[in-house]
Amino acid sequence: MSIRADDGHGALSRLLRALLAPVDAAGLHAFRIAFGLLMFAGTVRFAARGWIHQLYVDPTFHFHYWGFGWLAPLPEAGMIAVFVALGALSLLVAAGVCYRPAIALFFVLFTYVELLDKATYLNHYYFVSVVALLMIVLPLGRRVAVAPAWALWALRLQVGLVYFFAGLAKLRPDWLLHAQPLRLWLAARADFPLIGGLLRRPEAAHLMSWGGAAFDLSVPFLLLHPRTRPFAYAGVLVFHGLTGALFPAIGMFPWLMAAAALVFFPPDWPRRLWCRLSPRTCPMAPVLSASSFPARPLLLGLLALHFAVQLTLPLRRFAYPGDTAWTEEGYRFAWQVMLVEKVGSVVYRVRDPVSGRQRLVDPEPTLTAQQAKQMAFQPDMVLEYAHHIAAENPGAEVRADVFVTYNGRPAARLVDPDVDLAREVDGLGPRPWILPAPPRP
Amino acid sequence: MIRAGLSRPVLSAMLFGAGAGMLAGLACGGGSGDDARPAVLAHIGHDVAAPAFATLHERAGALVAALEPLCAGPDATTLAAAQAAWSEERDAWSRVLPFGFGPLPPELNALDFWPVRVDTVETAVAGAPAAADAGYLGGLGVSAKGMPALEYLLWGEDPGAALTAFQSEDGARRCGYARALAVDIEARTDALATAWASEYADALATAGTGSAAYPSLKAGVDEVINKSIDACLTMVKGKLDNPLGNLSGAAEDPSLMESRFSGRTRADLQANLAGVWAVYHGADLDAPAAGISVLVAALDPALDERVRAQYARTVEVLVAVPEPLTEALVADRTAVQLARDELDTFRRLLKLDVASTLGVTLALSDNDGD
Repeated sequence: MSIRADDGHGALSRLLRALLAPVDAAGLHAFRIAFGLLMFAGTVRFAARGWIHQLYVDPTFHFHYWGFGWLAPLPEAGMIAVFVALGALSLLVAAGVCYRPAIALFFVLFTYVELLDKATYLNHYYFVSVVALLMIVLPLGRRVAVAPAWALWALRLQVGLVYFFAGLAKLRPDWLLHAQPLRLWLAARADFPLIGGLLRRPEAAHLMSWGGAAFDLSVPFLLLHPRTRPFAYAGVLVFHGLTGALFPAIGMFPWLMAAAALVFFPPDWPRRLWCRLSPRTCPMAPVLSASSFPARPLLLGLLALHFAVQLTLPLRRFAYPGDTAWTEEGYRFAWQVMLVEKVGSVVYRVRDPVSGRQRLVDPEPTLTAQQAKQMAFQPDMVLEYAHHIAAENPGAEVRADVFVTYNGRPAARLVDPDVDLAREVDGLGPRPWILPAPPRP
Repeated sequence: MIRAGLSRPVLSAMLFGAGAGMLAGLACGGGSGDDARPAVLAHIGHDVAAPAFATLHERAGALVAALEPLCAGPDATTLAAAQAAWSEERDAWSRVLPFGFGPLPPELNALDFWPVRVDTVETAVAGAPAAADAGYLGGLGVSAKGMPALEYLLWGEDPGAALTAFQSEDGARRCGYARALAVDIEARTDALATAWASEYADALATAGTGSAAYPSLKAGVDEVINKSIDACLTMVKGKLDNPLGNLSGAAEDPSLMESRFSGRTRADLQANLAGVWAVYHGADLDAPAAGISVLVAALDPALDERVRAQYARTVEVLVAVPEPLTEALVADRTAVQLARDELDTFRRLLKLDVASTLGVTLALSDNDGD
């Protein structure tokens, strides 16, 4: 069933008409190609660095997302096959061949890998999953010459939400008043070429904090406006180039966002660029018919649902008490990007209530470096490991001494040391056993 | 109008020029020459680590020398002299604990395997030739050699047991084996001292500027701080939690203590802590800070003060536990546990606050299995 966009008047109809209007698909193809090639490069990089084994084959324990405790890594050969498939699917997506099955399977496999262990969570991995999900419904096959405008706007909205919520998350005292955590991070880069000495100064951290927040909050809007777009995109390149150089650990993120921001350019920008660089081989522009694409209610409904979720997830942190950058409640899937510098230390006290004997358990020897580092300051992971200990010691009481430094504050307890975590149930609600964030001295 | 005359390329060029000018201005005002890390790493390499390993080697030579009169004429005097030489060497060894990187890891077990397996050492003594040498030791496992094995031979399990054994019919073989252990220690510490003096101190001092071991300053600082944290973890977990029974829930077990035959468990811990402190403060305790403290104080003076206060508190509590710690462990567990807790607080300060402030990338401990 479909609705026609000219069935009526008013703002909604005009919006619908605009969304269903045909546009040159060249820009969308450029995005698809860039996405596919970046995913291929990322997959090869992941395998070349030995991360398949390090993160998914070697560990004997995995931290599960709530509701996904049943998910487990495949045996070694299976995990390698998954990554081989991801690489091949990335190339198919880039080529636009078997596009829809390829991107659908890419989404399933990529998201499967990301859901295997919370310790590997990264905002840009989540971004890849979300965009891949969105791309399943976008008409991006290589034979598509003309696409409905909503396809372009869906990507623009998705990319814009990332920047906007990342900017919104920066509107907090640590970031704006104390320039943390940038102050800590930049001071460690005093040997950075040319500007290293400057980075040690607090003023540099303040400048970059305010600049970063202003950039994130404004760049989607500046990219939308034709007059400001070239400068905004130059800003995107400088911003991501600088963060990529200063913080190499963020990996593919700068490349991904620099490519994604291209969706804000006019839909025919690749064709125009081609014609400017090589007028003799300039490809013909497709004929854009005057009639709109038909609207499919199911598709529009799915898109509305997708973006409702995308709006809700980042905002859910406001439903939790306290400083969510400390409690980490509502922190994932919310574009809370580069907001905290935390280091933690966890030791469990395991007590047999019958004999009264107590022993200490250090989780580090049983975890990978990445898992140990992440679990030491994330309460839900502290809880899951406590349950793991309890499962190995039926009936035991499990308490934790967890100390965390947070954006330059003196280390403080994260978890109530008197609470028996073995009896605490994990869920989506607030966790009363998390202690309040320490005040800044 | 002027504004109307500004084409987009001209405007872009102006903006680019302004950006480049600003960058140049920033660069002129902020070179990396005021980065204290090269000087701190050079100090730790040349003035703390290299001299500490030189002392370790020098005292190993003295230990070999002290065993000669013991083997020639074992009596209370020559034994006491050998014991004193061992204690001096042990003190030097305990101070290099935070330098568990570079040339040290391959030698670690051969020099310091404990708790001592008494049966293994006795078997090695019984099977030794009249004049045990490097060839014989080379065929033995690490549990039969190193400082703890030599400590056992010099003190024995009971007071007077060592002298009786050295004076027994088979005493010459026993002392020959002890001497071979000392020679082995001397050779290994010679290699360590030479490596630090000829190469590794420079590797640390030139981190980020041509060092083969450390491609960046951060890598050098990370190494030094991570190993100091590891040293503290070894003290807390390996040297105190284990005998306290904290890791097993079992009763206190003095046989799991370091240097239990010589009764200098606490002295070892004090020297360990002093070694870590030399990295943090610098080689000369009476001089202004020249170690990691310089970096911490520049960024967070209050944290530097907290580290200093906690160090003082830890030393105070540790010294308050009577030696030998093997006896205090059972007689006054609370005092030993308190010392352990203060050491752990000191460790946490380094691992959490200091590492976070200096942007250190934490590594998992190499001795997690302790």
